[in-house]
Amino acid sequence: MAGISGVNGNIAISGAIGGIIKSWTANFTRASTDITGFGNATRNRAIGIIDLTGSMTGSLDASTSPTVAFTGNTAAAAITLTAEGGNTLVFNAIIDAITVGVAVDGEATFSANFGIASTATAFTSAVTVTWT
Amino acid sequence: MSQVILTTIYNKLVAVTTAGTVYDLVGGKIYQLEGPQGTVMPLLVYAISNEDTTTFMSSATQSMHTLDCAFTFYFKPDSSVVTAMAAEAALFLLLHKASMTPSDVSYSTIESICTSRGVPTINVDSIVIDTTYRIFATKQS
Repeated sequence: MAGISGVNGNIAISGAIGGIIKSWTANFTRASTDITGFGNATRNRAIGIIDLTGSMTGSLDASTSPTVAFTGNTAAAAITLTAEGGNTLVFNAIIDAITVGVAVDGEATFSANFGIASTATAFTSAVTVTWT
Repeated sequence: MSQVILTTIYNKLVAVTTAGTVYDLVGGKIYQLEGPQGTVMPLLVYAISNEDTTTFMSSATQSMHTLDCAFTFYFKPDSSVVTAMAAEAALFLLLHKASMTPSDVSYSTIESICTSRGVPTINVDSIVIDTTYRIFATKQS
């Protein structure tokens, strides 16, 4: 067992991202419905659909337009989130927002948000988790 | 922080030596960190005061260095403040929003912007102007 530092992290999506990325996040959530009834001693909840959204941040790329991933991927595309070699999450996603920022004192930032877009009938089919 | 960046800055400072340039106004006496003992003013000393390195996720090795570079002019106390400010103005003309050619091809770009032009002050036996520039360098190898 060993900790992962992120030094060898990476993110890739079919087609170009349009930025040079230095960090990513993935946020797993699942809906839950309160079905507490009379007689229950505690809250009772029913499990719901899993959602997976995330973000990436970095700098603008001089050679690739920042809008390319936003307008180029009109259908769900496979995105690969790498923590390090052998530890990856792969799923189909759409990029639903990008933010571009430039400051005269040096920063030229790029960030994008993505969300899972899958017709799979099982989580294991929708998200391929490789963790060795 | 890289010697390539320091060398690139120095090359920029000494590239043009005609009348009215920084090089000319300090008599070519431009030094890193400190001047040699006994150096006669005027002179210009510059040093890196802050450094930050940002690394990106990529198949290639990419990084961006952000440096604060402090330039300090020293002029004789009996010289004119206007002369000292002319040298500072020449430096501003040279380095504010400037792009420099890296001294080594491992760097893609080196750019600079002025963050503080400073004011002339009397420092016992000299007229001093401290001025600061922010340097941005991108590296890909």
